[in-house]
Amino acid sequence: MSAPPTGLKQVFREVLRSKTGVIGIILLLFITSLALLTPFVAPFDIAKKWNDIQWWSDNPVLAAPGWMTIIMPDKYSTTIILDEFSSTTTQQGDIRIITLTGSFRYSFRNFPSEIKLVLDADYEVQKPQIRITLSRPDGEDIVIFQGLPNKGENIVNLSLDPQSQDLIVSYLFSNFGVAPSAVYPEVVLFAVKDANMNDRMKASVLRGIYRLNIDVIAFDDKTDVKPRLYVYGNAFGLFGTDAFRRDLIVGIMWGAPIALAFGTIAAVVTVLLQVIIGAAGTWFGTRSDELVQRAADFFLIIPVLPILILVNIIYGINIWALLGWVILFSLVGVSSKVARSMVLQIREEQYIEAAISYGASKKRMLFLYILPRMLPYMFALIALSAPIYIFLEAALSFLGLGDPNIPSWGRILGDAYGEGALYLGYWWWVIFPALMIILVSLGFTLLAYSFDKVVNPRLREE
Amino acid sequence: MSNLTRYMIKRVAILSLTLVLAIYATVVIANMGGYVDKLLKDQIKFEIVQRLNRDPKFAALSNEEKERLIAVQFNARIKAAGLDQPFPIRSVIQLTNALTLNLGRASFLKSASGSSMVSEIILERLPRTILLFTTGTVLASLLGLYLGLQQAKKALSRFDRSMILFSIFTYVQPPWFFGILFILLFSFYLRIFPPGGMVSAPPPADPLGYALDLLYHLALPLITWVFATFGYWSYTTRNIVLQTMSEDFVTAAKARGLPSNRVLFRYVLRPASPPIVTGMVFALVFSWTGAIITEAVFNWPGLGLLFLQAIEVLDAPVLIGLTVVLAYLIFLTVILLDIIYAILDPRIKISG
Repeated sequence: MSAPPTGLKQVFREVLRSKTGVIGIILLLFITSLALLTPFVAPFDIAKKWNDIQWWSDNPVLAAPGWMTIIMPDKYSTTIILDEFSSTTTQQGDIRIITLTGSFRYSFRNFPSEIKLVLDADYEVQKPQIRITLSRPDGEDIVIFQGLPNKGENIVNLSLDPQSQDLIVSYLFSNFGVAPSAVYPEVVLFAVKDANMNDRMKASVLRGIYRLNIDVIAFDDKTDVKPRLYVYGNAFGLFGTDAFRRDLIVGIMWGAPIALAFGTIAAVVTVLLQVIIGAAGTWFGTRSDELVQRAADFFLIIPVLPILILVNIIYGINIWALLGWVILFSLVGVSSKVARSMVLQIREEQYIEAAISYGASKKRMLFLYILPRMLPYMFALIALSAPIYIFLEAALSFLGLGDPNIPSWGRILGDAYGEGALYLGYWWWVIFPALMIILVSLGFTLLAYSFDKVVNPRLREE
Repeated sequence: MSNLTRYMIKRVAILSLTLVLAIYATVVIANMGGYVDKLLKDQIKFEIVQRLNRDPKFAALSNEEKERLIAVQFNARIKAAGLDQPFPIRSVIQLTNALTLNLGRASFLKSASGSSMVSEIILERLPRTILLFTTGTVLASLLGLYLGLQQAKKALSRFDRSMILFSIFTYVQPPWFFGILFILLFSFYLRIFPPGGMVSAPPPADPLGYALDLLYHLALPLITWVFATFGYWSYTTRNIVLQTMSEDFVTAAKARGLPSNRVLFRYVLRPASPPIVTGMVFALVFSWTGAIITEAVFNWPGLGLLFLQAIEVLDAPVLIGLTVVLAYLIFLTVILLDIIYAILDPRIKISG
């Protein structure tokens, strides 16, 4: 067993030589590059819009990751957006009849999760009359909308809109003589025509080319209607969406810089402070040592998480204020104890005796001869505490007490938990943010372990 | 007076002072900006109005007289409660209230028995938290001690090294985090355990059925807790035992040909136990706060879930009460382990 290396360069070289160290560094580099990429892929104003539910309304709700359509093509589909229409206009006296036609192919093996119609309408005085029909591959024409739109965007969620549901019910009644109390337009419209076509479990999907016909009766020249049809699937993007239709990739990507910045800054500052306070306490004599020891008792007994919760409830703090409070409650801690035992060891060494003999000041010895010796240990301690602070932020966000303005992994997990993702099986909403936290903490942990192995001879593999 | 008693008295005195300071810090932090004062005043006003409204004579008074009567009673109560004093004095009053667990009335929450006294709400929950986390910590420590010993015997073997990695990894991941993943895996996908709660609703009537139902609900949080914490115990044990094993007196004992079990228990474990206890202090203190979110995740109706419920309805008196009670619990844990430490470490008996 050889003595542990003390030089910083040496330590780094040995860390880079160990398998765990390399894996740890690769993981952290991966997360760091993700963090650096984030502002380009998902600009900050998208992250700011995280709380603006309206912003996400075009996404499917609770969609699994998009690549699930490749793994399980029978169960997952993506969203189809129909926004290109050809139009023909005929003039009949005072009124104009505009006919818009668009078509799309539906080739998924499962039903859409929802259907939404957006009508962007404009007119001078009198509202145009609109009637929308879906022409199916089997030749059936089903009227899905009839009415007078308002100026601007009219959003009709066919799956929820009572008028549209009534239209479907009357279609079912005229064909099968039954009027079901609960009707599912997204199923009926895309089901093979039979008595079971309102039953998601029993009906089979009718695949082929669907055509949407929009007949507009316009009463003035200004009248114009721009339709859009959303046939929502249940798979979207790389990480899926949540119950608020938010694209999870935005939240997950923004979680990276937030977690890294918070964890690293908190770890560096607290470890530095703890080590300096711990070392100085021991170095400057018994009285200051006693003081630091008692302070350590104080910081041990004070319940940090509850106080952080309290502070958060009473004052409502953002992430930087949280950082400040965390540092305030970590002035003395485990790292001070490590520093203390190291000073007790180092001060017996010859070079310190030599420094004393030529009259170096105590402060000079502490900052130039003793603290630098602890640098490798400090790196190990920083790598070990960074994930603890990342989890602290995640814990507070999980409880709904994080910074309300930014998405973080803990907050996504908290939202998922709150919306019952664990009991309803929305696994993507839980697994991906959790995986990110695991990757970051694993990176730091492996790094800490390899540092520990280098500086702590009992762990060395020789 | 023996050295041991003297040592203990000194430690208890120092730690009690620390507890007072910690609770004082809580009081001051909670009251920055006069938040708690406003809360107390609102409570007093509420109580006065409630009591007066029950009095038929009060209803007969005119509005002006009502206002005046309320103001007079209010001022008297404020004075009696010391709320008209400057903050330094008020903070000491609040500190004494907190230290004597006189925690006031909750803003919204109630105990199952219908009381809205914070101390009663907390007292009702405390045994459940202790049931889950004491059992979990005892199981985790026994498992960890055993594995740590095995690791020390075969230091740097493949088993030892993978255990070290596992330990560091689980030390970093908090138990609640494993809780989330375990609920998804064991409860939703495998359907082995219930996703949360303490008993079924409605709970079984016969005592045996109740106990089994409780056990069934206890299993997953308990497994999570043990899984998340035993690694830390094994890692600490391993390092300390390994350090003791390299001491000269152990080598000498081995050289004298003593049986290896005897060497392990008498010459290694005995001197290694005090630092292991020190490790326990950190693990247990950490576990009290770790319990908060773990309970919230598992819907376990103890102190942690109470925290979550108090956060949801913004019940500040309950939150402050919980913080104070947790400070007490940590304090008691540290004292308890100090006593064990003092009994285990022979140096204290000699020098004091």
